[in-house]
Amino acid sequence: MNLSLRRSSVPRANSANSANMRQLKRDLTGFAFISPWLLGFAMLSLFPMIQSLWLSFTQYDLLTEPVWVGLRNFKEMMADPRLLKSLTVTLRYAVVAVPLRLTAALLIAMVLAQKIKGVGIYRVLLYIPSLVGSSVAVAIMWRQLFSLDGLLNRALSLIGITGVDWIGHPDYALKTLSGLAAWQFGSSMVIFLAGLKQVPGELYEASAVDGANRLQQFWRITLPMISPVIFFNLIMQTINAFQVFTQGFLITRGGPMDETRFYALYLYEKAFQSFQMGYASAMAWVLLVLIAVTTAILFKVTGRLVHYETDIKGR
Amino acid sequence: MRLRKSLSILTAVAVLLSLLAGCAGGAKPKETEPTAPAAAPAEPQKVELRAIWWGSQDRHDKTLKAIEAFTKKYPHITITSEFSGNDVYWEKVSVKAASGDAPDIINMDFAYINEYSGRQALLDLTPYVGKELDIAKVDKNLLDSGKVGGKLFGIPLGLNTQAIHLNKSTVEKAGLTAPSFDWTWKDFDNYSKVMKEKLGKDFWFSADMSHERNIFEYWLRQRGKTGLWKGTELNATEQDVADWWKLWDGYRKAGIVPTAEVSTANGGFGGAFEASLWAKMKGATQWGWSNEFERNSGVNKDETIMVPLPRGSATDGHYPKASMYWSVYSKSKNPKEAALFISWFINDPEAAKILSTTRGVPVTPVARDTLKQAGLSKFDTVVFDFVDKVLKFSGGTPEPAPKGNTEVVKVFVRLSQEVAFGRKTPEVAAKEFMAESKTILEKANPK
Amino acid sequence: MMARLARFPWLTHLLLISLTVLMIYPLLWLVSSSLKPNTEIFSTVSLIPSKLQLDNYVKGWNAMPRMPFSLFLRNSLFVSSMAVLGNLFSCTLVAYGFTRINFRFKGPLMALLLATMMLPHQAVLVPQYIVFKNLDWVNTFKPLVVPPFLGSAFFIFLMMQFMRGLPKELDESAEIDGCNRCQTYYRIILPLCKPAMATVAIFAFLWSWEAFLDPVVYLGSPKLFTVPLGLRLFLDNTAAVSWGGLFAMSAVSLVPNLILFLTGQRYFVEGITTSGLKG
Repeated sequence: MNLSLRRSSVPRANSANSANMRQLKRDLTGFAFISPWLLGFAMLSLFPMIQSLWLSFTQYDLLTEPVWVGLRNFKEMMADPRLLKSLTVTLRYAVVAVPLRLTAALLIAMVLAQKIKGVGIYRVLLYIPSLVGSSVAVAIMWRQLFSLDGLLNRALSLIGITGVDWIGHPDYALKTLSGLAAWQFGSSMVIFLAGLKQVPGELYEASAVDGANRLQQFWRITLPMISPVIFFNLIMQTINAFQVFTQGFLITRGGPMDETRFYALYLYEKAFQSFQMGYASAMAWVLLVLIAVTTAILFKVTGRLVHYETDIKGR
Repeated sequence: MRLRKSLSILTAVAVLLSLLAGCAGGAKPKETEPTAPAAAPAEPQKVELRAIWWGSQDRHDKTLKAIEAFTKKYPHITITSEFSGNDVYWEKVSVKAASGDAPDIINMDFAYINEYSGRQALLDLTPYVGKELDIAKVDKNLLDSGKVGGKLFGIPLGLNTQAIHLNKSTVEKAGLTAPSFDWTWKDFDNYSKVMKEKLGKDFWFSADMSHERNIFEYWLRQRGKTGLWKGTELNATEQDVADWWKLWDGYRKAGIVPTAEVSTANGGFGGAFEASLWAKMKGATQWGWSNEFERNSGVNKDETIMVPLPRGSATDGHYPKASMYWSVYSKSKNPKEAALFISWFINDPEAAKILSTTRGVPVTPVARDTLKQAGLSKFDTVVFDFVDKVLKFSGGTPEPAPKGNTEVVKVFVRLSQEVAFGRKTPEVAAKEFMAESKTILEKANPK
Repeated sequence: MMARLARFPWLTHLLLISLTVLMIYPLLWLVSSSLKPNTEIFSTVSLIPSKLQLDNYVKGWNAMPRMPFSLFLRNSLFVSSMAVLGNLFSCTLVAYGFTRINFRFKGPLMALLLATMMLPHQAVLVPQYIVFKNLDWVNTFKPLVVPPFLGSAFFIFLMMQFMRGLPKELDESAEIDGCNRCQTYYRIILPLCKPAMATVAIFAFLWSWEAFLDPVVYLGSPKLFTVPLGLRLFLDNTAAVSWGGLFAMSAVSLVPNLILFLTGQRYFVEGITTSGLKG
C-alpha cells in the first residue's frame, strides 16, 4: 500500500472514492424510501406472478396438493367453448362501452368548454354517476332499473311500449352493462374538459383569421392537441374494461346463458367455485398477455395519430 | 382553508373511532383458547359456531328460532348464521370452502356430498356418534345416504319425496277437477292446454322445467333407468336427453308452457323462488319437494294441494329422499359443539316443534311423535299424509351423484336455456351435453 | 353542429339539462324509493312518495338478525381508514424516493412501477390469495389492510407527478442547511404535498369503501363483512328484506361518497385530471 500521499493524486483518488461513496449512500437512501413498494411488489406482484405461472401448469383445488399437468390447462382453454365465449363477451363489452363512454365524454366536454353558464354545476352533476358507479348500491339499482317491472319499463309503458326483461334477456343483458359503463362517462368528461382548457386560445383565433370553420378547427386543432389525453384514457379504459367484474357478478351473475360471463367472472368461477385454481391461473396469464398485446397494438395504431406538445413546439 | 382543516379533523376522528372499533371487532374471530388445564373448568368455555343454510323466509325464520332455543339450552355456544336462497347458495359455499374458512355447520345436499367430501371439505362424523351425536333412532336408509365410502359426512334432516304443489282453486276455476294421484303426462298435457285456453295469456299451468335435473331424473326412471348416475358416469343416453328437451320444446311451441323470455323474467332456469310464476300467482303449479308445502301454500289464500309428478309408467320415478343434511366443515375448530347442535336439531322435541316439516318429515321417531302429539299443523298433516301415500308406490333410491356432477348440471341448465331460446335444437344440444359431461366426469374422476 | 348550437345557447342548455336529468334520475329514484312504501316502488315512475316511509331505514338497518347495518359500516370504516393511512404513508415515501433521489436502477424500477399499474388484478388474485392463505390471514381484515402500507402503484404515480412540480431548489437548500434526506422529506416536501395527499386520501378511501372482489374472497364470516358484502347479503335474500329497506341501506352506503365529494370536490378534479392528462 502506498502510504506516501502524492499531492497531485490524492484529490483525484479521494474524489473518485467519495463520489462512489455518495452514490452508494444515495442508492441506499433511495432504496430505503422505496422499500415499502419494493416489498409489496415482491410479495404481492412478483412472487404471485411467478407462482401463478407455475400453477397454470398444475391442477389445484386448494384443498389438496397441486398436481403437475403440463400444458393441459392451456389445451383445455383452447377447446373450452365457455372460455371463448367469455373472451368474446369481454371484447364485445370493451368495444362498445369504451368508445361510447369516451365519445360521450368528449362531446359533452366540448359543449361545456364553450364557456356557457353553469359549467360548474353541469360538471358536478354529470360526474356524480362516476362517483358512485362502481358501488354495490348502484349495481342493485341498475338491476332494478332494467328488470321486467323496473323503472325503464314503467317509463316505456307510459308511452305505450311494453318492455322486456332487459337484464334477463340474452340479447340485451350485455347492453345494459355497457350502458352502465357509458353512464359513468363523467370522470372521462372531466379529464377532457381540463385537456380542452389547455388548448391555447390563440390557435383558434389564428385559424379563424385564416378562414377555418368550426369543423376544420376541430379536426386540425382540437383533436390533435388533446390526442395524448384521448389516447391515454383509451388505454386505461380498455384495460379496465378487460377486468370488469363486480357489475357482472351482481347484476346479471354472468347470465343469461353466459351472455355476460366476463373473463374475470369466468376466472373467479373456475378458481373459487369449481376448485380449478390451476386452470384459473392459466386464464390469468392469458389475460395478461392479451392486455399487453392489445396495449401494444393500440400504441402502434394510434402512435402516428397522437401529437405531443413537443412535436408542435419544436417546429 | 377552513374546509381542509375540518376535513382533516373529520378524518382524524373517523380514523380514531374506527381504530377503536377495529381493535374491538376487527380481529380475526378466534374461538377462545382453552383455559389453563390446571383445574377442571367450572363452566364450559365459550364457543362460537357459524352455520349456513338455504331456504326461503319461512325456513330462515324457523331455523333462527330453533337456534335461539338451542342457545338457551347451551348458553356457552353462540351461533352466527348465514342464509340465502337456493339459487346462490352453492356459489357461496364453494367460495368459502375454497377460501379455507367455511362455516362449521353446512347445509348439504345429496348431489353435492360426494363433491365436498371428496375434496376433504367435510368432517367424518363417525367419531362423534354415540357421544355428542345421537343418531340411534334415525332410519338406517336415510342415514346411509349421508355416507360416502363408509364415512358419515351428512346427517339427514328430513324425509322427502318429489311433489307438485297445485293451486286447486285456479284449476277448478278453469273448469277442471284436481289431478288424482294417478294422473299421467297425458293429463299434464291436457291440464296445460285447458288452463291456457281458459285463463289467458298471462297464466300457465306449469313453468318450464326442462332445466331441472331432478325432474329429468324422475322422467328417466319412468323409462326404466335407476337414476341419472351410474358410478362415475351419466346414466342417460343422448337420445334420452334429446327426447327430454324435445318434450319441453314441444310444450313451448304449443304455447302451453312459458317461452324462454317469460321464464327468465319469472325466476326460471334456477332463479329465486320469490320471482317464480307460482310466487307471482301466474302459475298453477310449482314442482318441488314435499317439505316445501308450507312455503308454497303461503303464497296466497287459495287452496294448495300436493300431487305426485305425472305417472303412468311401468316403473315409478318417485323415491324416498333425505331432504338435506347438516355437515360439519372438515377444518371446524369446534366439531364437538357442531355435532352437539346437529344432534339436538334432529332429536330434541322443542326443535321438532319449531321446525315442523320445513326440511321434510322429521327423521327420528321422537321428533315425529312430538309433532303428532303437539297436534300436527294443517301443513304438517298434508305433508305426512302425502309422503306416506307416495312411498307406497315409490321405487328405490337412485345412485348418488359422483364428483363433477355439479359442473355437469351447470352444463345441463345452460344447454336447456339455449334450447329454450331457440339457439340450439334439442338434438344438437343433447350431443353437446353428452360430450361435455363426459369430459367433466372423466376429469373429476381420474381412473 | 357545434356552430349551430353556439347560435342557440338556450338549445344547448336544453339538451344539457335533459341529459343531466336523465343521468341523475336513477339515483334520485333510488333515494326516493327508499322513502316509499314497498308497493309503490315498482308501480310508479314518480319521484315523490305518497307518504314518507322512514321506517324503511329502520327495517333495513336491522334486517339481518344480530347483524345491524352499523356492523358493516364499522368494518368498512376501519378498512378504508387503514387504506388511507397506509397509502399516505407509503406512497409519499416511495414517490419521494423516485423523484428526489438519484439511485441506480431507478429507471428500470420506475418502469416496473408503471407496468404494475396496468397489471390486471385477476392475474394476481389467485396466487395472492394463496400467499395470504399460507400466512393464515384469510378471514381476517389483514389482506385488505396491510397491502396499502406497501404502496399502490396508482397513488405512487399520482404523488410522483405532483412532486415533480416542486422545484429541486427546495431540496438543495435543505441539504445545505444540513438536513438529511429524511428531514427534507418530512419537513420540506411533505407539507407541500398536502393537496396531492388529500387527493390520494379521498380516492384511497373511496376505492376501498366500494371494493368488492377482495372482500368477497377474503372475508368469510358475516361478522367481518364490509358494506358492499352486507348489501349483497341483503340481495341474496330478496324476500327477507323489503326493497324499501334494501334501497335505504344502499342510499346509506353512498353517503361517504357524497360527503367526500362535496367537501373535497377540487381534489377530485385535480386527481382525475392529473392522472388523465399527464399520463
